[in-house]
Amino acid sequence: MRWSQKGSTVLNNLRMLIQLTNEWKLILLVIRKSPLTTAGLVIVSGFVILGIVGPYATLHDPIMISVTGALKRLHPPCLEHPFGTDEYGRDLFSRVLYGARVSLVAALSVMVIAVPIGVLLGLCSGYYGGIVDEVIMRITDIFLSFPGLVLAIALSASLGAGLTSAIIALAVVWWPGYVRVIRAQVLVVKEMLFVEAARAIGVKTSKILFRHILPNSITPLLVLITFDFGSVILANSALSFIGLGAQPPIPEWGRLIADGRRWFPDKWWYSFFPGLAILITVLGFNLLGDGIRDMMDPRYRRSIEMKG
Amino acid sequence: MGDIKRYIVRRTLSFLPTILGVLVLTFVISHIIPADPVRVWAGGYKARPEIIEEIRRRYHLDKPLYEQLILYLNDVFSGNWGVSPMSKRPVLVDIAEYFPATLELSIVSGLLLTIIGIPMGLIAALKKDSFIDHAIRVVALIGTSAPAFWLAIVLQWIFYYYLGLLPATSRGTPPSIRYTGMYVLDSILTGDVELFIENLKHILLPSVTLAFTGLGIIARVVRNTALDVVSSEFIDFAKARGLQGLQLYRHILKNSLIPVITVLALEIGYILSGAIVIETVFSWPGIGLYAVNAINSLDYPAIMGVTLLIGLIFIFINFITDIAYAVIDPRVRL
Amino acid sequence: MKKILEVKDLRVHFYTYNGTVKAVDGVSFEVYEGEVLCIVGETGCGKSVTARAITKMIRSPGKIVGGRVLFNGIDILELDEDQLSSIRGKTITYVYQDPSAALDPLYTAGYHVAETVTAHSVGMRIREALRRAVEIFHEILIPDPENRVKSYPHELSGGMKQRVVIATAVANYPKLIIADEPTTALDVTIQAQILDLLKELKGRYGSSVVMITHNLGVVAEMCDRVIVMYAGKIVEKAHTERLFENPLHPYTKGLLNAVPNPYRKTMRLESIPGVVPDMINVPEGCRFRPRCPFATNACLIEPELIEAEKDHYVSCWLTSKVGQQ
Repeated sequence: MRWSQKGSTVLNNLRMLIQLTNEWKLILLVIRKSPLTTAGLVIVSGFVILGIVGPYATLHDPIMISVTGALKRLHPPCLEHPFGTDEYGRDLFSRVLYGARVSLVAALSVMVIAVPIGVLLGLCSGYYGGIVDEVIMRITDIFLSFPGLVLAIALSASLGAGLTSAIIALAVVWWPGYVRVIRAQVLVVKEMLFVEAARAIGVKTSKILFRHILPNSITPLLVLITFDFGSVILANSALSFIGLGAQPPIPEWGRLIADGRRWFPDKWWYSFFPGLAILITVLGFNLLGDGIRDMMDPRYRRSIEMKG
Repeated sequence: MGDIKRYIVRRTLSFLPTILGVLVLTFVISHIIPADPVRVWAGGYKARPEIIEEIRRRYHLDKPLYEQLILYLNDVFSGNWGVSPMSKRPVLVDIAEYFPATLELSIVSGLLLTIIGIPMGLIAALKKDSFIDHAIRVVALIGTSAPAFWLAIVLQWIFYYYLGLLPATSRGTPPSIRYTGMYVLDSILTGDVELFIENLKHILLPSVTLAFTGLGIIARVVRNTALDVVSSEFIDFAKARGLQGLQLYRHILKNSLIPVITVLALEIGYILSGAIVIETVFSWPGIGLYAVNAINSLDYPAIMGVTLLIGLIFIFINFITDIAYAVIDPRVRL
Repeated sequence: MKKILEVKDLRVHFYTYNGTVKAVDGVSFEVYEGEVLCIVGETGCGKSVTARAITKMIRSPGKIVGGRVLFNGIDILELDEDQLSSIRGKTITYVYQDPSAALDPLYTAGYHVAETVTAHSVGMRIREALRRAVEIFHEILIPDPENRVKSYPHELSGGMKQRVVIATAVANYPKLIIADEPTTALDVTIQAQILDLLKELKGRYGSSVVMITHNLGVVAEMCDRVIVMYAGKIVEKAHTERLFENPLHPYTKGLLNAVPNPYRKTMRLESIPGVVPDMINVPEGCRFRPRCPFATNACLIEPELIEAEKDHYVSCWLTSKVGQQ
């Protein structure tokens, strides 16, 4: 009896392993078939790597104003300074590179705060229903009654300019989206037979929620997180563009664009390259998100599998 | 039609708590201010204590929170949105002055978005998987990924600095008579063609910037909706009943409306928040410029006034959208 | 009896990523005036595709690659979209399988009927047509027709919705009604009512009916003649009684053994072993060969559809050998 149980566990693990390798094969296949998704993946990986090692990899100091640098104020792009220099002679390439870290930290922090809150509330709302659901959804509705950026601006302004207050403001704006998505997913999964079965044999509610329902909601969650990473970077740069968010001398991309406007239009590179960095990074997340969504869409899967 | 009336009443009632919630939220936000704004308004560190006290009293900052909330609600409903310490005028008066510019900009952007985005989506659906479909997808993705304020600067550089075709800043010249406060519309109403063209030129760059960022989403939604509806069973059955031309399109269009209306309503939100950020770039004297100036001078009543206004507009749009759903789709009316 | 429709060597292919699916591969049959012709077969045998191909209702990636559909002496497959529209819904009409999907949720039941009427009568107003819709609702026994025309699909039960679909099909006094599994999506209790209704309407309007089904009970109940399809081909064609009394093709026999047969006493029900073939790599020769208990080497060559007895056609080497002996 015990032996056969063990055998079946091994078999099960084996089956899961095969399933997993199939999954990976499919992902690789999608990457091969969709160059846009691949481009997204490359951009996102590049961004993450630069965010981690960027500040150590720069030739010039991105923050300190050096004496020699002052001789090279607002220098147009050249070999030594591919993005030109700013009004203090600082290398803009190094500053943009450093900005990747600021954006990465900001977006990651917002997600780390917003996603668990949203997921937890969404799980509760969908699973318990009734008054719990009503209260949570009402509150969510109120937060969704503002265009996200407007609420973030108001909050961030009230909390005082700074990266931390921007992160808090963005997290406050971004959690309701996760409540909606997870709740919708829970409502579907809840009715599935295996959840009913788990409930019938007396599995604890918390276990049902986290072991059975959450894993089944991972797909839309993953898609949303990927897209939101891009949106948060965009919103964060908008905050710092209007003077909220990270303060000088920290080189935040939106801030760099705002600073560059003073020298517009002659010193075009000052505003241009930080903006290009935002565009490419956010584009990367959007392409990747699109790719993941397509990958999870059964209709698309089928067509890929047929082709393959 | 009786159904619809009942639905509107029910929906109105269910929106009231949301409006209240939004008011409470703005109240909470304006009370988490850690910096001491009173001191700033009173003139910084050198301000005399009596003046600080006086300001504290005038804004009820000495009362307990719940009393402040009730006073706040009372003020909001009676049209007293506070006095801006910077302009020394009631916030609502300021907003009334700045809002037409933003409204005008939003309307023109919304129109551009609709008349370009919907055909773009239809073309993409018609030529599914062709080069055009992919090109539209890429343009759409760039639009949603580019920061609007940067796009604004790039467009200024191209059309003003490099090509010299369009003005980069300001709204142009106000027409002789003010009907709506919207220059383009007012210059039509006064029949001044030259002024109309001038003002149109001024609004072109900011509105194109705002429209471009939302174009992608509209086009994608229209494309996917059109494809879904056209391949649905009831369209197939309509063809099997010999419907063609207008009779057939009627079914396709009506069924495509709901997702398109949903995304349009969402876009209005994006346009409004986009306007806040890009108005500064174009020196466009709307509530966005007003708000950004307020942020830089810690003018909290002004910031909260703008936030509240946009929140209320957004709620109103959602309300209209809900009613539109009910008019289009009988299943919603239940 | 007069032939009203003649399908000759119809071929419909679907071009998928995997390869070409020959969903309908050389199907020929005819429909006589006033009769009910059934096409039976398992899911994916090409029966629905055949039905839709009759008025060229085939969508990409499907394509009609050959054959003719003669109706009143003209080949429907040669007509342009305009001419097709004037036939669809007027002289040849359809009843779809799932009424919940076939009706546009945003329009009333009456509107569906009314627009079908106005589409085929020049100058008729929708208001007039709505009066006609009330009449038809009355005829097909929808209770309270004056109010029901104003109902939206979601306000009606499945059976009622199917009645509305049928109302659109009979609204223009059709010559031929093509009913594609009209009862499959309905409750068992409603199925009989819908079948009775179709039978009665057929008599009243003098239309012929082509009924697509996988249900042999429906065949026994409704049909004058039966066509059995397997993997895109006709394997047997006969009058209903003959088919139930004396099925010749092993597949037909298998089908009949799988359900209680009203014409013969069977001891136990049996299932047909194996599955419907992969339509891209169709078995060589007779397509039923891999599942056939009587398969021989002869079956590696495709058998023709031959007349084994009067008005009873079958495509099987077994029968032809029997015929030769």
